[in-house]
Amino acid sequence: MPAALPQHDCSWCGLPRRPVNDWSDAVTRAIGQPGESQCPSAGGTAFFATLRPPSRRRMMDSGGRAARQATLLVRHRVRCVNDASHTGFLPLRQALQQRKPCHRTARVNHVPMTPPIEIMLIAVVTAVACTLPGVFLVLRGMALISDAITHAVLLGIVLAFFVVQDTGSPFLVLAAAASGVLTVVLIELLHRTRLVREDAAIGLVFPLLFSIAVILIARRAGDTHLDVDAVLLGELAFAPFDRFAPSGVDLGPQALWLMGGILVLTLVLLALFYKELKLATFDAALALALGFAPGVVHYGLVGIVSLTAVGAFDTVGSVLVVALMIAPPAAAYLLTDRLSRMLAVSAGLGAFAAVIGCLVAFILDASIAGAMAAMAGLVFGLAWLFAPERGLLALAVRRVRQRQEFAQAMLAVHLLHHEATPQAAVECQASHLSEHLRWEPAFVARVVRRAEQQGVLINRGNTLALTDHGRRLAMKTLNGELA
Amino acid sequence: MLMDLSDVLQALFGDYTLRTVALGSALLGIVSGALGAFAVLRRQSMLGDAMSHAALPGVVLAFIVTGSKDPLALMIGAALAGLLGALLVTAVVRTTRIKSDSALGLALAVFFGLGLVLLTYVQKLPDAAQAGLDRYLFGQAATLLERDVVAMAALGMPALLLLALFWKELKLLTFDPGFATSLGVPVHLLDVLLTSLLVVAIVIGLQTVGVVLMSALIVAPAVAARQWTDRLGVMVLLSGAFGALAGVAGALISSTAARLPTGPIIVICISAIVIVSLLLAPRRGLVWGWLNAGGVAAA
Amino acid sequence: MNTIQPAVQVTDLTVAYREKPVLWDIDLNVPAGVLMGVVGPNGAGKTTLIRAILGLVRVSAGQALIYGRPYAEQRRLVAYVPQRNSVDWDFPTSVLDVVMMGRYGALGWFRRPGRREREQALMALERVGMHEFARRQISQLSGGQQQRVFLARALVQDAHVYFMDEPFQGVDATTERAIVGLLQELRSAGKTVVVVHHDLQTVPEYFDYVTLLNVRVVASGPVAEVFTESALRATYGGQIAFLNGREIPGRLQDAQMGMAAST
Repeated sequence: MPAALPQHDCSWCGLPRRPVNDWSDAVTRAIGQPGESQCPSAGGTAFFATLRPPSRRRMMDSGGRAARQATLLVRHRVRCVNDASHTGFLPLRQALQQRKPCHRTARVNHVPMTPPIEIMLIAVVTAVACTLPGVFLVLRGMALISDAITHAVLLGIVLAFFVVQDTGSPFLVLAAAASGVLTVVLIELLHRTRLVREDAAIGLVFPLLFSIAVILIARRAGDTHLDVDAVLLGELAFAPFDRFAPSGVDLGPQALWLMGGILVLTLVLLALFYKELKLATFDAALALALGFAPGVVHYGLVGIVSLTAVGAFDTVGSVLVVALMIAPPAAAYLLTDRLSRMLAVSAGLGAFAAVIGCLVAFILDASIAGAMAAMAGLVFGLAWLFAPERGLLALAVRRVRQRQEFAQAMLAVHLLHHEATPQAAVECQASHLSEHLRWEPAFVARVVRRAEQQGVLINRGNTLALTDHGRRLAMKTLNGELA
Repeated sequence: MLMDLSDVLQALFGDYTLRTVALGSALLGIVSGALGAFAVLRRQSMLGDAMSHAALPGVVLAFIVTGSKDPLALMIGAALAGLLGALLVTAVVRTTRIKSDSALGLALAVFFGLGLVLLTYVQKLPDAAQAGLDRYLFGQAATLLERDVVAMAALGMPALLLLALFWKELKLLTFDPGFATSLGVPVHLLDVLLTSLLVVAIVIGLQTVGVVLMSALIVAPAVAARQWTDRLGVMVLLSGAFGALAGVAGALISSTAARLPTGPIIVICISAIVIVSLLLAPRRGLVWGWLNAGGVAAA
Repeated sequence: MNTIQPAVQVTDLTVAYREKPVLWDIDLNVPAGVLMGVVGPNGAGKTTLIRAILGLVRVSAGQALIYGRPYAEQRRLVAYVPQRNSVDWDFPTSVLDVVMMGRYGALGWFRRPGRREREQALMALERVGMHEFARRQISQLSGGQQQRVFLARALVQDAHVYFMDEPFQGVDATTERAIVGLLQELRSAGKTVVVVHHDLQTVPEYFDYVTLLNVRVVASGPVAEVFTESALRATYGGQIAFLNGREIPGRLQDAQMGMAAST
């Protein structure tokens, strides 16, 4: 087998092509054609997903070596990516750690679950963790603030990394969450100068913070060059490589633990402060009067959103987090009227979008996070079209029906107004209705016919007269509208 | 990174590549600055963000359909996708109870996700022609060619011309749409026109600044310009000038110093202009306010 | 019923938002040369009525005519003063510029306002007493001054019919008196003025015609004939508080009643 592998250098980065063993053979086959003068990094990103099952099993059997090889591959990619002509997508964490040997992954001896299932599990947990705060973002009109937060946490991550030099540090998560809160404070300060409106303030603050972070990363990466695109996208396909293995026992992917922890924290806070959140969302003034501080709720929410954004950074990146936070709750908002149900429905839709997104990404071998976002959008699109009460379809059906009923009521009111007035002879003539009400003659005919059938009026040779029933309908309509 | 001014100037006028880059960036700064002024005044700052993100799938689809990286084709693809995004945002807001911020966030993130799926998918194709599409994420001014600048001018100049032609009506629409309607001005048509012009400004910048940060070039010059003047005409001119200044400075720094993505550097340049404007602009500036407050307190 | 042609004739006008009627089957005649107030409780559809006449909202049925023809054909005869808070007063433009906008309709496409428009605008500003503010940025104006600028913009349109939406809202007493004076001057010059108003107390003093509106037209005509307690009761329903059950025959003079009604 080893003999079949190409030995020439990578045409992009000039490095010799790497390891020769049975496993990397499988990887090479999956990523590109052997013998092709293309660096492995130019290939797909979700290479895990593209492995055929036998290769995948072999990869798993080789255990720690497989993981280390994958890391090597990642590092190789990092070397290549700055070439403007091709790009690999790297999770930030790997990218920042590129200079150090990947000690955590090297220690792993055993990979218990198969990666695609782990990937899906991480995807589902991430999606659910995003949708829960997302519900409140949608209801409180803070969707764009969340966009700003998710971008700005990058600066927190990068700055904290420069201080502690360890991507695994919890300090990193806290610093990033703090930077999210700081962003919101900055936006509000800028808005409060009254020189800039809120939407413009959002559009000013986060691009700046994000740009600083991107440039810091680019400069930090020095000549090995980190792919700046990575910070936007994240890559779920790599998540299973980072194991959570305290004292050598593998407990699953780190990302799963991180997102799971954030999800549990969100759930606990949600359960504890459900009442306050609900009140502050629907009636901030009342909440204030009752002694709950809406400001605390506001910043608590901002904090949770920041925390979730940090957690989801490696896996889905900063832009697509917004899709998971907004799309499922927006869809749920069209499907239900109760807050508790909206939370449950969004979580379900988010999980659904995550699973389908993963599958689509596996099939196309495309960005998993991107596919999840696109699926979340599709879920929203479906809800928009077909939601039983608020969907476009239901709306159209109802509008046609209401238009009929409304026209009938309008006709009744019109006749009532002109009953026993000097103009009645003119106003109440069927043939003059179209001219007076400015309706199409065909529409008038339809409305009159229907009203006649329902006993609202009688057509006495071109002059329309209300029946008692019709008079009651007109009175009811008017009183109902006046009440 | 730190070149002498003379070196920069010499490079600017002597170096063909740099001249192209500077010309392109200036063009993009003028167009996005001028049209951004209207977007900011109409409280549509974030619509620019949504449309620029939404443009990504358009770029990749245009590449898939035409099979070439002809700049005009990619720009048209981007423009159509951006307009579709704006259209969907309007439709969602009009037909549902979802507020505009959620609709914008939705369009922004979902279109971008779709764009990434397409982008990563295209990068798997054996054909090497797709290489470089990813520069549309963060922009790379150094890759601007003459044909790119020609395409930018072909879209940008007509946009500015239309802005000048319909100046009076667009001004009225932005200030008081109700009154404009009562005068018989076709408000909906002009609304579509203005949104389309904004899309043009965005797609012009995609290759240089990238979809992620393009919105900053719409919002920031306008906010900075607003601080210095109380006249719409002056504001639009200043905004275009600030945009051009930031564009050229950012593009030059990124293409001469290090292989850095241009988008973030341009954003930092224009943000610096904004900060200076917010602080120092006469009358509106914060420092002016502090000085006045101090004077009153002292008196 | 006037035998001569009314300035504004509304017939069977119904307006609905999302199939919920805001105005029901409105019939209304505004005779030429009157100063008419339109009053009614909140949500009565006063603003909607004006917006419907001007074609700013879609109507479900009926129509409005200006001097016997649809509004679209008579735009030049009409001037509109929207609510003051409908625009962004931080917009970068000057007082003179805003007033000149009144000439945009007459200017047509592609033509820029020139010296003639400038002089007309300055004259209009003079009439509302804002001459020396011409170069001011509009954000530096008080509420009353903003309203005068809007009024000047309508004056410069040189129309026959004026529609004004709550011109006295948030305006100081001096400006209110000045505006009323101007409106009465317009009427004396043969113009027709329709004003959405919410203070019942001043109706008899300011207007000669009044329309009581609450989704339907409750009553419309000369103030002396129409502005009665029973009509007001019918318009305001339970929203009006009569003090001590005191009966006020004919025209209303009770200040407190006006206050109570406007809440």
